[in-house]
Amino acid sequence: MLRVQAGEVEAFPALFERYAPRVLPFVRRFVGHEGRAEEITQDVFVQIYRFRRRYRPESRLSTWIFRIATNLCLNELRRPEHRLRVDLWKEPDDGSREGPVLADPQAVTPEDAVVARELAVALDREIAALPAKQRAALLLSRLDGLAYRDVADVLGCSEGAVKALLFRATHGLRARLRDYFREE
Amino acid sequence: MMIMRCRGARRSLLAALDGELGTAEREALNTHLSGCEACRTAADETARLHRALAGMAQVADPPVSLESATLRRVRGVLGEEAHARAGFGGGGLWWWVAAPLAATLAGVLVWRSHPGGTPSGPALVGVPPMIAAEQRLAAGEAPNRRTEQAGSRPVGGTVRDESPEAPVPPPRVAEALDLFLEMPILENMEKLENFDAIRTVDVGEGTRTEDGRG
Repeated sequence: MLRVQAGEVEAFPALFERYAPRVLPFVRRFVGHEGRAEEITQDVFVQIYRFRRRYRPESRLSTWIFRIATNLCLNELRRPEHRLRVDLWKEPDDGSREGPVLADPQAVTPEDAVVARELAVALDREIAALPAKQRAALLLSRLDGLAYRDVADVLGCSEGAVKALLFRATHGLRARLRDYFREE
Repeated sequence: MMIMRCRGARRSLLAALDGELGTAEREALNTHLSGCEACRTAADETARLHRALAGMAQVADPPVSLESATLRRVRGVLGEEAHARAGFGGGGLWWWVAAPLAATLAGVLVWRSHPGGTPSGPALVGVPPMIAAEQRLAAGEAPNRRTEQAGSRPVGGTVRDESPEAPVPPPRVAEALDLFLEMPILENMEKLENFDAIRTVDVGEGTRTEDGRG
């Protein structure tokens, strides 16, 4: 990033290749729409380039990038067309849509694998239904493993507020997915 | 020693799993869990949810089309920046056009704000028409219709009673004053001047290997 800031545009593709594999899944889960996720990921990197001089090396680059990504995702959720998109995305709940592969070491039998996949789809669905800020906090801390301090930095709130957001998010998920966790 | 109740314990479960609890809080949570069956059940469920969520963590290689589309847009930004730099900081043709036009514009403004009919009065260059009129009224002068209506009246009309020293723009310039105020000519000159730079700038090609990756 420092090279990009210094005017070496040739360094930008390397920056994209390093961070896009983390940004794209984050955006995809945040907005719940593959096509829009790719467009927003493009927007994220265009903004990174456009505002490259605003980055301060004192802060972590990933935090700065995810702040841009989160803001663009929150903007997307505020758009009136988004409701329609999410509804369309939710339609195939008959198991036909492929969920993410859960890294569950206990899912050794085919039955367990099926349950793990069902849980993944259910998790996707329930995360998509969370309020935007809770969803942002959860995805940032879970998908990208950001520390609470960094999540607070991205969301522009205190660590205490991040803890509260995560508590509400996980409390809701646990309540709605209790059957899966009891059966395990 | 810190004492934790059920409410506090349940709020701390995820933070404990994430390693975000301080030592005192962690000890208080452990003490509470050892004596509270309901919170232990909640802790087990939270731990399972935590594992399931951890399984979601993944990276995904973006499609090549996404990378190329993004770099294309970044090239566009680069072009815009080159355009803006050339427009405001560069030399060349822009200044050759801007300097005479700015001089003409300044002349037009002087001409428009000059108090016609009062050759001995001071010219209120740069003062808005309404304020200029108020200042003259305060000084005991008669209202000057020409100055007050300058914003709406076509320039180059029939009333031309200004003093002989006032610069008079050529009639074609006076008829097209808006063109110089908005300066579309200058904007187009910038584009023309930087066309080659915008067209030839490329971000990604220099670092690509044969397989298309950087």
